Amino acid sequence: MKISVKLFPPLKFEDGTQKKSLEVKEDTDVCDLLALLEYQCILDPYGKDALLILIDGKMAQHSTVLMDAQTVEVLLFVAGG
Amino acid sequence: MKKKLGSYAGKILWIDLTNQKWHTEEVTEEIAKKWLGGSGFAAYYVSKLVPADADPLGPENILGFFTGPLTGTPVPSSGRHTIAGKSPLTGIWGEASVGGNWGKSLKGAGYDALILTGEAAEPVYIWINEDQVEIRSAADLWGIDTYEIEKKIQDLTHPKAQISCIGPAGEKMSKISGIFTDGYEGRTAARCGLGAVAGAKKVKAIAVYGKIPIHYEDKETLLNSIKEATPAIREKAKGSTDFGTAGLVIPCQKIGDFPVKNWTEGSWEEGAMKISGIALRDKYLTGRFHCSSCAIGCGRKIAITEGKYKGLHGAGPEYETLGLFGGSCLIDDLEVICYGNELCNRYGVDTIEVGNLIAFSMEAYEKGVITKEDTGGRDILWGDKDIFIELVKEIGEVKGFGAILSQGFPGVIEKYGEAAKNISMISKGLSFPAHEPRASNSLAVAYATANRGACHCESFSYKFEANLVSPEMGIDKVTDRFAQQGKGVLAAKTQDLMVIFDSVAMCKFTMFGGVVTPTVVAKWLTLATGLDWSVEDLIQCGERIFNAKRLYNVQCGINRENDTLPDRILKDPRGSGGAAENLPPLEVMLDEYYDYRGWDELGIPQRQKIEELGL
Repeated sequence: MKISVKLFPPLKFEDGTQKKSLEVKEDTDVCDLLALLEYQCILDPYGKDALLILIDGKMAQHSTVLMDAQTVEVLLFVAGG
Repeated sequence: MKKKLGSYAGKILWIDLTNQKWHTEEVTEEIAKKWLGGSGFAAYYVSKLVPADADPLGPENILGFFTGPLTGTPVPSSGRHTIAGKSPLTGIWGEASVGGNWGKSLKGAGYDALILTGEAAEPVYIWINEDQVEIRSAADLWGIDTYEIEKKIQDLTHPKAQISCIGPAGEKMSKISGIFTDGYEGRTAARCGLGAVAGAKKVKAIAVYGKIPIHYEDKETLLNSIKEATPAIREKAKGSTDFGTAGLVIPCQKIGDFPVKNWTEGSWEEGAMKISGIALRDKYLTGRFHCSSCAIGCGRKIAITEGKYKGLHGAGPEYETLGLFGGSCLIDDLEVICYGNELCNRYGVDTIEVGNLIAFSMEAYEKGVITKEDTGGRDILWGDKDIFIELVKEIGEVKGFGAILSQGFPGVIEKYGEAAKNISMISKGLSFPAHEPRASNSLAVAYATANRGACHCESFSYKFEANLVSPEMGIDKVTDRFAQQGKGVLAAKTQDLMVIFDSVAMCKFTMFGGVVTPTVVAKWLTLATGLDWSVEDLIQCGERIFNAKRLYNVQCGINRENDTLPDRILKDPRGSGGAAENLPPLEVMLDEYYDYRGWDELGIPQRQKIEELGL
């Protein structure tokens, strides 16, 4: 299935872009997606636990399973406030 | 033989300003175990000493500075202390926590706390050098801003003295003035108008210095444990190190947890990008500030090297300032925000109050609640940078229209009436920090019940609706931020948890990465103090301290009627952004909250709960 991934600053893909369409397997969850993204974009040095994930605008957890045609937005959610 | 209390200094310094006398009092094991320190000591002493009907700006009020048992130790991010008294802004419990290095110095001088009573006849500053305490004239220092005063008092005392002070706004008893430390680093106990309490007591500053070593029960094991935990704290907080709290602008705007146009709109994406932590880093960052023993370094050291504000250097704006100056006033110019932030720091006022008050003024002018007669003939328009800076200056100098704003929302509402109240974003007289209760139901109930008025730091509950859990507190999973059930309980549990951090005194940012848990705090506290602390002890202390503050507020007349939020939050969906349609169901959540707390339906702690907590 195909999903869209949008990264927000300071996160970006290795080619400098912030939006990509990705082909992923059925039953892929957020955790799987982040593992995939680790090889394709600059998530480090912040780590997966510091990220806020939105799927079609709604907050998601690492266990949330993705569906075809969804948009996944990934933001760095720093400690503090 | 009397038991030593490890990393507690073991003494409280009392200064009677009226009679120019001082004495010390022992910290007993009983007090330490029951009240922990920091915010807990504040709860104990303010409740005990300040009558509920006391004038906050009169001699009956106290101004207390309370370190925690971990302040000054190598425990990561423990350089904090709490300042407390009855708030002149809200007329109820008043408290502000602050980082920096002053708390460590007070501990180094041999004191867990400093309590000022009475009031001086003329301006003074206090010089504490271990067991030498002097009350000196500040006649020549009155009027100097919070940045410049540091060096002047160090010249008069000791080059390494740490200075806690008020600015010109506090001297004029502005009810939104705070108490500042660390000079150009602008560390601020901003909330509740405690700068005005210092101003009323005519205390310009308190300089402290001392090198008394802290005693530890088991230093070697403590240091090893800290050494083990610190790399993980650093790694998990890397985003804060790189971008500071300003790093929250983009994600908070995205999820609708950001004030826009005096809390009327839900989205400000383009503006947020312009004033983000990334923009701040890329254009102006020159370094970072660390509080004592800090493993993170979230403080921003900035400089503007060209243009209208060339030469500005010092502390950069925090997330709260960016949200309220930027989003709420529609100022999308980072340099204007940095300059406004610097002015607030120098005058010594709370940027959260200032941002909300100016955004209020922009809406009030648009709606005719205030007119040119009130504003000195000026238009007060959304996003007008020059007017924004003019108003910041007037508030800081307590003059013109700014003199009215400088008394905070209760004073503004008293002058302009119901129409002003309807657009004032406050709870119990304290204005909202830059987090949106319509974006988090737990935050709505937390704002409504926070002891000092609308406050995110008393709960940080929204973190537990994003990516944080605390199994020790019974928060096992992240829950939907728009759900209703369980949110009253979540707010109460997170409030008790935050009290623990404010009392021991550690920075809560160490907790957000999931490394420093109550279990870790209990271990470090036991190793440092020699008193046995279990997680259960800490949780009960947290609950006791929160309830003690509530009981003080109840004496001040607070009940369910006051545990509320503006109609805008409860009735008006914003229609855009990441939380466009949500309205928090406050009353239902309050019922759950009171029931969990053991309070009656009016929000009064019941006898059984009071006895259970030993209050």
